[in-house]
Amino acid sequence: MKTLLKTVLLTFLLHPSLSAQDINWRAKDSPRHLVAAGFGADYNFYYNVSYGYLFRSGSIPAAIGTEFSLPFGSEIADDWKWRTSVQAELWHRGNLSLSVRPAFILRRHASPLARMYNVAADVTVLWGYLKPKWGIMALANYDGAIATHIKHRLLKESYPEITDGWYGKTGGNFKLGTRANLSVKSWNVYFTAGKHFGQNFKDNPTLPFFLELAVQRPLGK
Amino acid sequence: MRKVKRFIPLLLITGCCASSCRMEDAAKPGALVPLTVDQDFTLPSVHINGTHLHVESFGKPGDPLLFIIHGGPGGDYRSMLNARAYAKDGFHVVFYDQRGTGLSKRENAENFQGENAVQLFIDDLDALITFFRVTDTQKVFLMGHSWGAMLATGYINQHPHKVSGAVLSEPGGFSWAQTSEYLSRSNKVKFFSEALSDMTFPEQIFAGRPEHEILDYKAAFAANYENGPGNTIGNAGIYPFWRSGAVSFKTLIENAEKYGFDFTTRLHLFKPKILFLYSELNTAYGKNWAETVSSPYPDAELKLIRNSGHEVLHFGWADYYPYSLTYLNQMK
Repeated sequence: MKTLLKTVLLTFLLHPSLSAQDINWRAKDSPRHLVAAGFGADYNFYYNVSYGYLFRSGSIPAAIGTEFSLPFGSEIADDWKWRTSVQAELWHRGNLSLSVRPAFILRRHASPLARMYNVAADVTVLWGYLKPKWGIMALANYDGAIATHIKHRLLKESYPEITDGWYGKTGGNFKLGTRANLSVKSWNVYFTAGKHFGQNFKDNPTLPFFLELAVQRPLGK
Repeated sequence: MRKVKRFIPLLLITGCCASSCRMEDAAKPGALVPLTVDQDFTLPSVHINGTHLHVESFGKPGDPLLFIIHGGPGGDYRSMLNARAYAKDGFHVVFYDQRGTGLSKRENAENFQGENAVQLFIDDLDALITFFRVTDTQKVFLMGHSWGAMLATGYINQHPHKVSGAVLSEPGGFSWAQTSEYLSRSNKVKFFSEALSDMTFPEQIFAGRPEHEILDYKAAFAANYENGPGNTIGNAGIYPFWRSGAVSFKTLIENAEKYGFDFTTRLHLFKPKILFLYSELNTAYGKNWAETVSSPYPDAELKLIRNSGHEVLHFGWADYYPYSLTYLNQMK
């Protein structure tokens, strides 16, 4: 167990490319750990790795998970996103399921113009149909920036009076989409796709859609 | 180890955040983008045609007028300031940031949504020419870059007898069909590039806020893509700018998609020779496209600017200046 955690942590820190926050609550086996890797497009093209730990809180199945994403590009770790979430299935009847996943997000962005560290929070609601071997869920998400520290680079040359430091809420984005999952032998495959919008549904991201393909390996019982 | 160290500032910053650092407001004027002429009265400006433009001029008022028209739409003239040199060569050089962009006053999207939005830009230029012209016989030259060369052509198309010559560098096209064909080459998306990430990553942080200051700041990051390593248009890096006019850019592109334009309908009436420049390193342009775009002008001289990408007044000045000065001296 310790070795596994160390491996996950080291991979997370030294080769930051970890995504396993997707859970099929109806899976026949009840694994303790979920490890996943994925790639997709969400603002930019990225790859990620994640780890999730499943437990029960009273009668409610729940999970904590962490996910690390890196955009493709020649600079490996100048931009990244680290999301830590808690997830619980709040309601289910037969194969219908409703779960909620609040998360805390840290981001780093660096480019010739500026470097940013961003603290954000998001919440995802999943509602749909889950069978032991497959499922399909509707997804709604809001991701809001809480605070961002900016240090300007070239922009400071262009505008010397530009203010470095902490900035408060700078907005947020909504996502609406679908997640489908399929289990093959001891692997789970998740495909997520949808559209995202700026919080005012007017000033939307350049890439108007998001999608992700993730492969997940359940471990332990 | 270096990668690990990158996390240390984040932890410190998070701690600082938790202990309630003073937060700046990203929409506060002057915080993330420069103040405009209506906010900073020390900036040189002219009230004209119902707007407030950032304008400055160099040289003697009686000399032939040379108007410098920047690219975009939504750019500014900062990267063209090399052109101040023509003042010493006997020209009255006028720079201006177009309506709603650079250090000119911001304008709401409605300003650029009507069918005649481009006409506003032509009328602004006409009003400036009237403002700076001291005699009826004073010659007027236009020096336009990219979108600025398109706008200069739009002006010449309407007022062929008011202009004595023009230096045009890499206009995308003189009609919307031609321009969109060029843009499909110049803006080709490189999906897995660092440059794309450098442009779009901040959209996770600055998101869905309508204030112009935030939109302009976010738009600045497009420079990372346009001028990133291996960029199609051949720029050697990010060139100087003041403020990207996000609203003006977005709305004018939407306007062109909706209404289209054609600046060539009366160009046959323009008799003076023009100088048409294209860059060696812009792989989306080239000699063939330069010949195609310049062909509606009855008399166009084409010149290649060596060792430069699209932003020729900044990166290709070594060639640009002697070529353009020789032409302007011939025409004045």
